[in-house]
Amino acid sequence: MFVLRLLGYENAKNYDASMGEWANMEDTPLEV
Amino acid sequence: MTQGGGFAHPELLVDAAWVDDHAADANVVVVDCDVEAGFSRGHIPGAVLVPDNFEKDLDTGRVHIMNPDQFAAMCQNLGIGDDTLVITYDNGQSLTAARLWWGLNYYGHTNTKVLDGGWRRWIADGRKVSFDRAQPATGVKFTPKQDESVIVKADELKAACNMDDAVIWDVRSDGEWDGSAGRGNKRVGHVPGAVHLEWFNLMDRETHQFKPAEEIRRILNENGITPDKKIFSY
Repeated sequence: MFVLRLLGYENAKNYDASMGEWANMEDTPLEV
Repeated sequence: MTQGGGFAHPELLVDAAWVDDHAADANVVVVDCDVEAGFSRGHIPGAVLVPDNFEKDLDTGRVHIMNPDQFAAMCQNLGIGDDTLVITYDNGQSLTAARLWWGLNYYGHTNTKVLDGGWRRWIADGRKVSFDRAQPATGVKFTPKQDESVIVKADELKAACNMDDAVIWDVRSDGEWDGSAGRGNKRVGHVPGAVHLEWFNLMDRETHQFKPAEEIRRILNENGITPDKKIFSY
């Protein structure tokens, strides 16, 4: 995120909850 | 010197000379984003140490921004008020320094900069090292103002998996990406359609500074991470 702001890529968001949330939900797609 | 050139917002970085000149300013708080063991081996004079696990939700123990009250309390304990200019640094390649920068930005405190090159730059310059415990400023007030534009929730990310004008950027390690490192989660792997580019590829591994802007842009372009897209990182 920091580097994207540094570059002026303004349309950027952080998925803050990350895999600690995503990979513990039942209905989120994952691939390996 | 920080390279600065080519970045749209070079003011988000400061160099070690600037920090040396301004660390003692009344409105400046320098935050060491290392852990106790590293901090006690030496730090920038006047720096305060971020609490352990500051990147985690105190209630769940998972990586997630603290709630507003908890975050404000942490900031005030570090001497950070609404008028403070915060400088973050760490002794690695600015992962935790950038994390604190993001947390402060999420809570509306945009007056925050990262020391380019962090502790390695400080030492390479031969600057003074402190072993003292600075007393944080007291009586400061941090007002959390959540900026939801810098965060994405699971539902929005799910929708983004199928969007042509979006790119999902997985900045994690190879093991986390391919599922060999599960980190205690129920399932492993990555978000379908995401690109994998581990965060430190954008850092100079010798100096710990950010690579030049043009090189970072080139690397991001090669991975389809371009400014015309909605970018979601995790």
